[in-house]
Amino acid sequence: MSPSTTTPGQGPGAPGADLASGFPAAGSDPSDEMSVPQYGGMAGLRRDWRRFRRNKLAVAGLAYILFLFFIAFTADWVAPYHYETTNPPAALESSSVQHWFGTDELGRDMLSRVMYSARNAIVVSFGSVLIGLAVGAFIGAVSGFYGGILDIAVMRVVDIMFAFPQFLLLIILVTAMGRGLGTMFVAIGITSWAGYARLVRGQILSAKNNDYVEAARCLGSGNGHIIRKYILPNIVGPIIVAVSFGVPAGMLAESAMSLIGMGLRPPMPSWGNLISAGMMQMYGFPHLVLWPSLTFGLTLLAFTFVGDGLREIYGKE
Amino acid sequence: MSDFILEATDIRKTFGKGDRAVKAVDGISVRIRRGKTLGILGESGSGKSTLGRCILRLIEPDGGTIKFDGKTVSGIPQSQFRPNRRNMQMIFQNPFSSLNPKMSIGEAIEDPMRIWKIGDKESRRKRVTELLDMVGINPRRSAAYPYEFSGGQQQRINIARALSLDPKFIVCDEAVSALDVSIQTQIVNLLMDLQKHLGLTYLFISHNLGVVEYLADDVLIMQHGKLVEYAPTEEIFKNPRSEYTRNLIASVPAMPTAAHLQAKEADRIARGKGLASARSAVAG
Repeated sequence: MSPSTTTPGQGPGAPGADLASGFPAAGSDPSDEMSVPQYGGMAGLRRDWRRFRRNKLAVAGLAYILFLFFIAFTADWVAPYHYETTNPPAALESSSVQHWFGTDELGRDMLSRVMYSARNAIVVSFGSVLIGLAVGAFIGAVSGFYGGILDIAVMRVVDIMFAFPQFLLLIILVTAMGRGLGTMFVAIGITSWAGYARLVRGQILSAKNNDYVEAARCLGSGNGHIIRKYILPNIVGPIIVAVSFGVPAGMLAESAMSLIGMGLRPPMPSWGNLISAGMMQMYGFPHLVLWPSLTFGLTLLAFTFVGDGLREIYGKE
Repeated sequence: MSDFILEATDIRKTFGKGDRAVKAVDGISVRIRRGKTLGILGESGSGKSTLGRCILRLIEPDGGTIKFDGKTVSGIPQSQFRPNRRNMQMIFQNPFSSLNPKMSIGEAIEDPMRIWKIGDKESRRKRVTELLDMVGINPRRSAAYPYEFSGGQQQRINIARALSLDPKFIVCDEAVSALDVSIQTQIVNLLMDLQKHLGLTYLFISHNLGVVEYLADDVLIMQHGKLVEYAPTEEIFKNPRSEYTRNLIASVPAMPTAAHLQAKEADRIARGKGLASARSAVAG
């Protein structure tokens, strides 16, 4: 049997069929004749971006979020006034050239206060997601990897966390720790870890039973290599999606707490604080509620669009 | 050097405890000569895959000894066993799920060489090209991801990956069972070609009698974890000694060929004659 007669083709239409003429003859080097594309590196990320770009709403949401980030972290320079600067003679003005979003009852510039609120919202929401994810992912990963009694015990604790109303727990935590920015994201982080734990555990359970993990072990990979190259890349998608929905949830929780007077301590602005303060004079001065609500609503919407876009990429393969 | 690359003696593996214990592999011994193929046949649940995994120590066997290339590789900790992984590889049943979806096929084939720190980046990439060429995949597609290939192509990629470390011995666990019949033939031929050129030894696990008959030198038949029959392929198929083997061979649904139909016709005539002679005997 000569190789040329026994080497199977790839079936009609397979692009490699004509090029693969069997075994390379001695001394011939296939890479001499053809250029081989580079693989690895950022190729996967570029592919994900191409798919993300197709969803126009998600791209618009991402642009809005980037803009919000820029505003939030350059507020000290970009904002026309400091959030605490009062100007009683100009109190309760509606939109004007000096004050685009108008002023509140102490004459503070609403635009500046909305901008600084964005910074607080971002710090609280991302901080809480980071804490929740760190705690939840660690607990979920250990639980999923080792299984057994540990897993059963951890998952019962998670069930209890789910059964307990998040808002009530938040109030209890804030009461115990006192109001403030740090308290806020720690408290929200603590109340949200269970969801991440459950997610990560499930993902690891299904990922570690994949044939490719056994194949990697068979090829001689150690546990560290398997986790880094075979398990993590395959579960990072759902985690990113969860984070993209966790961030607006954190913002919502912060604003809700601020609204009932248990969130950030005034005069520190937060969308919830602004809306709460403006509600008293909503009929006379609707701009006090309108602008923070609009910004907040748009932000939540943007995160939802981005989350949907990410889910389209990572939800199915 | 021993004539046999693999000698596994009295392998045992039980899953579960107490009443629910299942003896998946119950005292099976196999020996495979260098460059030969041992086919393992059995219905699903007969323990053939467990046996393959025990030999590669992907599952820890409960008992028995395994000698690979003259060295005893059972009863030693995984860390000491690990160097042997370069010499023994596995090809899995499901070609898609045994490839990491987040790795391009080039990375997937290069990864084992990275684990073992073989060569530098350039020489590894050259080897990837060579391997893809060898299994009939255009190396230009090395940046593509597994889902961009058909099942048959994916299995070729799996074969290339298994070959990346230059193993001596490969366990093929139902390696063609998930593929179309026409693709099965291609992959089986590829495996046989590779065996000829690289001097590979195969443990070929399958429930497909035709494939095993085609490529195996010896056949071991298992049922419920126990050995039923172990003999050269020709002997098993021509002269099966156990009832189970005879039933297994008879149960293969085959398209009736001309020879088949002729035989059937002859059989029918013979039976008719038998009946006629019986009648005449009664009458007489």
